[in-house]
Amino acid sequence: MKKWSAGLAFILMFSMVLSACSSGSSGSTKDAGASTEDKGSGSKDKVVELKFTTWGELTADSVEKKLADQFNESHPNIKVTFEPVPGDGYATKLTTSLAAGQAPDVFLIGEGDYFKYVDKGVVEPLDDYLKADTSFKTDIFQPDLINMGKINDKLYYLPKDFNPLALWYNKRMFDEAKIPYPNDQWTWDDMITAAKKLTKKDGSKVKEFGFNATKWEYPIYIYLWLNGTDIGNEDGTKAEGFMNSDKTVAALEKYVALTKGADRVSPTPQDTETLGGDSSMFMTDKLAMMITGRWVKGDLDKSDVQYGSALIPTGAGGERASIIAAAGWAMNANGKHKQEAFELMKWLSGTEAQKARSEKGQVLPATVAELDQVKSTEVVDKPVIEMMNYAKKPISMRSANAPIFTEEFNKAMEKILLDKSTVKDALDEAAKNVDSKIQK
Amino acid sequence: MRNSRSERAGYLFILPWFLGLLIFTLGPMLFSLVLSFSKWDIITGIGSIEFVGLDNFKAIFHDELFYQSLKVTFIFALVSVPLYQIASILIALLLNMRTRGMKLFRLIYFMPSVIPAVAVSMMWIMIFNPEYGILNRALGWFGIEGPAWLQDPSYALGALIVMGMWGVGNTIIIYLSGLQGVPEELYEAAQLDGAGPLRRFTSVTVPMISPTIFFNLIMGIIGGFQYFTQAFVMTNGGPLNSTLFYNLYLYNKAFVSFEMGYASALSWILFAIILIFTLIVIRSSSMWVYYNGDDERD
Repeated sequence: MKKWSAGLAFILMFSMVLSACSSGSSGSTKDAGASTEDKGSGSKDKVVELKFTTWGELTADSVEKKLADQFNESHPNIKVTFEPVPGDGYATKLTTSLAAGQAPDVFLIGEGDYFKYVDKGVVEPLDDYLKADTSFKTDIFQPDLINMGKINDKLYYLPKDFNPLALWYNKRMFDEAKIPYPNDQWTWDDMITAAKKLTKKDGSKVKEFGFNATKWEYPIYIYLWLNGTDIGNEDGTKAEGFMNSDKTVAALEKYVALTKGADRVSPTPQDTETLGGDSSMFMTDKLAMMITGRWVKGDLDKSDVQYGSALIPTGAGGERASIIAAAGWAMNANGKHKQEAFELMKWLSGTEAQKARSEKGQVLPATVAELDQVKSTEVVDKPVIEMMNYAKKPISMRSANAPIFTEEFNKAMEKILLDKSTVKDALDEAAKNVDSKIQK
Repeated sequence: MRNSRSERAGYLFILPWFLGLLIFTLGPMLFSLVLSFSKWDIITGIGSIEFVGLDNFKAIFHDELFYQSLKVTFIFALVSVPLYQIASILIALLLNMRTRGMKLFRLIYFMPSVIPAVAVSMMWIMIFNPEYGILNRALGWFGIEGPAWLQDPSYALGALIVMGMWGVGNTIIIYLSGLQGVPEELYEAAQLDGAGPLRRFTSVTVPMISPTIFFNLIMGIIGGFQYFTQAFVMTNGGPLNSTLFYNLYLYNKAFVSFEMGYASALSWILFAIILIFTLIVIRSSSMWVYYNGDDERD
């Protein structure tokens, strides 16, 4: 009797596992059948249901929610649901839902992950949809943003919003030190000279820092570009001779020196961590300059810090570079209603949506006409927008190998910053590790 | 077919729990066992699971970070398990005294265990803050310049171990109940025989609470090897991987780089390690654990 019931339990368990699988698959075939039917009958009587997701935007009055409502009103045959996810859990939620085949039809991806998701084959290329639809042209967008969304000559992402990196400075600290604000002619060395004047010490302890030489990769990439080097080759297949080239080593030695010794002008990453992060240091007049994205503006405006933005200084020979941080809409390659999803993407990236989002000044519009308008009225945003012209693609937007590069590079930087290794040794080792991992 | 009705009723009663075990514990465990022999990048969906035999395990044994995380976890377990057990017993002995206001002390020592680990971690981040933290302020009164506890690779692991002392309330409570189960007459008899306080502790208390020690030791070992939350919240493995606990590395593989097969293999290795250590303790228990009323002690 006992054995018999144990056997029964086992059968029960397996039948449940099986039924769970089969119900999933039968569900999806049914849906697929329905969608082909839709196309045949011109989708008159059946409402197609779509989902889209972003990180953040959790409040009931969020712009995306309103955009979804407006879309539903103008498209009676489509019902779209907006499902926002808190920022921390976004990647996990998205990837697990992609794995389970339950992912939303349209989802938002940050520029650092553009390449990765395309490489995994989960993002649908948009070229055919664009060709078939003459009412929608991508030339309404900033060319840089469209260019970013292109991978291997196919367009995968339509712009939602973007944040070019720029130099942000604390006016009060500049006034106090009686030095002029950053200008367009500034070189990196000019900036460091100013940073030295802005740094204030109490004994051996620095109380106010002139500049934040962060461990965040983007400003480091920009600095490397200004010095004519990069952590990897163009298509991200080689680190030897790039990550550890003489130019990279020399540039990073200079960069790291900003956080070290008696003459330091920058907090170390540990300092920044203990003091609550660079933007809160900036807001409390403990940091005079930082290179970061425009998203910081929201927080700065809430505080009473007086700030300005400027172009990121040039290299010694006048070269200039920046990175655009951006978020783009992607279509789920395994979605069931792709044509409708494309309609939704057009709406979410289109002029109306860009206007709605930029109205409160929270983000810059991705469309040319609207951006020009902002440019003519906004003082603080002018340099930020101008930095777009110098945007380059960091390694994460050039190669699927990027995580290998960044992991090893960050590890090397950590060793260097904690004085556990010289710049040269750490980068040599990192380059070797990257290349051996790529070969696998 | 005796008792078949009541037997069936019994099975019905355990069915909800049993189903939960099957669906949420045994099922996923089986799945992860299969995964540990496969390569699966979770983004590409369930169809892309690819059987790779022992490749994951081979790769793990060449993985520098695997050894680093093992090292961190072993150091933590080796230091923290005895440390927490000894501290708990000593505190439990104090709390077992009959003095006025003892209930208040018991409350104070148990209270930290009620606070969620994440909240505790946030609080300790502030305590450990080298600039504003209360710990370095206090050290400053004695002219000591405290280190950057969580940001210095030579201090971070130690800081986490010290922090753990704060949360031993659960263990204390179990020891306390063990101590209260020691019959008073044994102490009296020992005293009549001329045993001093130390002798009474080693010859009466320790043997009598040895089942409690046994239980706490096993739970402590399992907890030590599975240490995760505090490291995840406070250091995220840094600086320089000095607090990269095994479970944290496993989590990163599974939910940051989405290498589910690799992560599953890691988790089964951890399972084996915990199993071995628990078995060692269980096997050795016959030598030092004394059960009251068990005459066939060998």
